Amino acid sequence: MDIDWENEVHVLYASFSSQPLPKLEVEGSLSYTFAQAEMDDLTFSPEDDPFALPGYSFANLNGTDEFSDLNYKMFELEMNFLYRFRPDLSFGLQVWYGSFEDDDAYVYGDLDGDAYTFTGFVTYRF
Amino acid sequence: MGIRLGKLLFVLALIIAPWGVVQAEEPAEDKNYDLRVSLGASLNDVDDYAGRVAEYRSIVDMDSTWYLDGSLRYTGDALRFDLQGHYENVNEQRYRGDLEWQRLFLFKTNYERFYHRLDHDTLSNLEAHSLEELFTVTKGSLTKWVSKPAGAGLATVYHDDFGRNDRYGISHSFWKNELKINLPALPGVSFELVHRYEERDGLDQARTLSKCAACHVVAKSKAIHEFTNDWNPRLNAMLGKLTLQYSFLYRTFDNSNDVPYNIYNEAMRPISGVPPVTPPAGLLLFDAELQFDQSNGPLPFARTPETKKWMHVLKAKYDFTSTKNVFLSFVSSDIQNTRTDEGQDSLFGNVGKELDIQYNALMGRFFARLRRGLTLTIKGKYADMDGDDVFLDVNEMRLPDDYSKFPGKTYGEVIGCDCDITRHSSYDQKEYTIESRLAWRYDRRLRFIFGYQWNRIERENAAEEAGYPPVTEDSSKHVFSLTANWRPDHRFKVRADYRLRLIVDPYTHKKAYCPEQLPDFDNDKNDDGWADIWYDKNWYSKYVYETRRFDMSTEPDTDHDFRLKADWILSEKAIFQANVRYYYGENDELEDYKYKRQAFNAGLNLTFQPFAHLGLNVGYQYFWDKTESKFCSAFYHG
Repeated sequence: MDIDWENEVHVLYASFSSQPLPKLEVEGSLSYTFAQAEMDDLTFSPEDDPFALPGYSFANLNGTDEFSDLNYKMFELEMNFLYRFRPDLSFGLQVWYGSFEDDDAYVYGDLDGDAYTFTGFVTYRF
Repeated sequence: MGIRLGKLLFVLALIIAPWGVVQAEEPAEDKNYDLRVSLGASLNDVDDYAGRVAEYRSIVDMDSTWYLDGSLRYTGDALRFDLQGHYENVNEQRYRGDLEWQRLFLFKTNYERFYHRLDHDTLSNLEAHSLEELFTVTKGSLTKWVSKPAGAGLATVYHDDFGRNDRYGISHSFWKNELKINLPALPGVSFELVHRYEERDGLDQARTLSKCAACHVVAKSKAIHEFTNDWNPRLNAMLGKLTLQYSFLYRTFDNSNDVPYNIYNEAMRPISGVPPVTPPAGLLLFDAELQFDQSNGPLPFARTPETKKWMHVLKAKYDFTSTKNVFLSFVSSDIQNTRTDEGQDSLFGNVGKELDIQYNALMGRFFARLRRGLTLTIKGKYADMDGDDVFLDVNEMRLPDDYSKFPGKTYGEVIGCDCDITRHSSYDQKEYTIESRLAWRYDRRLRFIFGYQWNRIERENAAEEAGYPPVTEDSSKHVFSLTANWRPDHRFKVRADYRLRLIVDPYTHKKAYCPEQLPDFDNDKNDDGWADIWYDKNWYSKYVYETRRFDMSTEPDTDHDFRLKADWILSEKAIFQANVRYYYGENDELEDYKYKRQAFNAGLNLTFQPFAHLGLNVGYQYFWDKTESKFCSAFYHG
C-alpha cells in the first residue's frame, strides 16, 4: 500500500537584553514550538489476505498508522537578573519555566509536563 | 511554594547582609589574579511527566539544590592559568581549566556531566486478541491456554513489562584533557597528548520477543555502566614548507551493564483449523523447527559488546608557494569486538572468535590560485573497509531415534536446508571519491563557487548468490553544486546554493516484498487443523522469501537542494535575516512504486536595538517534511 508521512513544525522565539538601571542587567528569552506529524490511513480488508486463517488478517492492521501520529506544543521562558551592588559584589536571579502539552499520546503514554527552576545567588570578586 | 521562596530569600539575605556592612572596596585592577565565587540556591518543581519538558534538566526532580560557581584567573610572567567550575547537583556540573607555562607547556582540561531522561515504552499497543472463544491445547501431559489473560480469547500478541514502575535515564560524563609540549631545542616540533573519557551510567529499557503460538513481547530494565577511554598522542612538525602530523589513537569501550535474561515461551504450534481441535501426535515436529524455547531455560538478550580500537593517522602538507599547496593523509584503523567469543554457544552470542573491522583510507587535496580571483581545489579519496565473516551454527534439535515421523532427523535434514551458514560482512566495501571546486570572484560584489563530485561504492558481499537478502552491488553518484555570494553594498548580502545529485543504482533492497502466489502452498496439507511446515512447499525461506518480486529503497536517484540566505542591515540599530531551503528527491527506478521526499523550511529573524541599553531579537522558523513510500506487512510469517 502506498503511504505518505508528513510532519510540520512552527517555532516562534524572542529574546531581549537590557540595562534599565546603571547597576541592573536584565535578559530574557521565550520560545514556542508547535509540531504535528501523521501518516496516511492504512485501510485493509479481509479480501487482502492471501488465504483464510483464523486469528490472522491484514484487517487487524487498520489503525496502526496512528502509531506515528504526533501533536505537541512546547513553551519555554527564561529570565536572568544581575544587580551589581559594587564592582566586587553582585546578586543574580535566574528563572526558568517550561511547559509541554501532548495532544496525541501513544506508546510512551501522556507526555504532558510543567517545570520551573528559581535560582538566586551572590557573587563576590576578590 | 511561598514557604520555600521565603526560605530561599532568608538564606540569601544571610549571605548578602555581612557584605553590606563591609567598607566598599574597589578591587585593585593592576593585580594579576581574579577570583570570583558565586553561592546560592535553587527552588525547583515538576508536575506530571518530566521527560519532554525537562529532558536534560535533572534539578527539577529535587525541591531545592545548591548553586555554586567560581572562577580563578592568574597571569604571571611565566605561568598563566584559568579555572572555572559550576555545580548544581551531581548530574549538573561542569569544570574547565587552562594552564600555560612559558608557551612551552599548555594543558587544557574540561569536564561536564548531565542527565538525559529516556522514555518508557509501556507496550500497551501490543495486546491483540482475535478470537472470542478460548482455546486449550494439550501437549504431552500438559494442557494449557494458548492466550493470556485467561478468558480473553486467542492472543495474537501480548506483552509483559517487568520494569513498569522504573524510570529510565542516563547520566553522561565527559572529561577531555589536552597536553601540548613545544620543544625549544626543536623549533617547529610539538608533542600533544589528548585523553578523552566518557561514562554512561543509568537505567534503560531492553525488549525481546517470544513467538509461536503467540507473539509475547517482554520488557525488562537494564542497568547501564559504560566507559570509553581514548588515548591519542600526536607529533607535529613544521619543517619549512613541509608540515607533518602523526597521531595514534587507542580506544577502549568497556561496560558492566546488566545482561537481562528471559525464559521464552514454550513452542506451541499455531492452530489453523476451526475450533475445537485436538492436537495429533507429532507435535515435537514443531519444536524442532525453532532454535530455542522455554526448554532452553533463561537466555540472555540485549547484550552490550566491548571493543578496542587502534587507529594511525598520518598527514602531510607541502606549501609550494603561499597560493599553492598539496595535502595528503592516510588513515588505518582496526576495531575489535572482544565479546563475540564468550558464552556457551550461539544462543549466548558466541560465534567462536573476536570480530574485527579494518578500515584504510588515502586522501589527497591540491589547492592553487590560478590567477587573481580564481582558485581551484581538487580532492581524491580511496577507502577500503573489511569486516570479519561470521559462521552461524544454528541451534538445531534432533528428533528422537524412535520418533514416529522422521526419526533421528533435524528439520534442516528433512527439507534439505543447510541452515548453518557463513555470513559475509556488509561492511566489506571500497569507496572512491574525486571532487573539484572552482571559486571565481567575478568582481568585488559577486563571487561564484562551482563544484563537482564523483563517488562510487563497491559492495563486496551484496550478491544474491552469497545466500542473504541482496542489495545493490555498485552505486555511483554525480554531484553538481553552484554557490553565489552577492554583496551589492555593505548593508546587504545574499548567499544562494543549489545542489543536484544524480545517483546511478541507488542503494536498494532487492526482491524485498510481495512473493508470487505460491504453487502448491497449503498451510494445512493434511487438513488436521494444524499448520504443516514440514511439508516442503511450505518452506518459507525458499518458497516465500525468495519468491519476493519487488525492490525497495529510501535513497533517491535524483535530488535537488536549494538554499537562500539574506542578511540586511536596515539601520545602525536593526538587522534582518531570512533563510529558505527546499529539497526534492525521488527514486522512480523502482518497479512497483515511486519513492519521493520533499522538505521545506524558512525563517525570519530581526535584531533591533531601539535604545542604547535595550536589545531585542524576534524570529520564526517553519519546517515541513513529507515522504511517500510503500507500506508492506508480512502475512503469517511469525
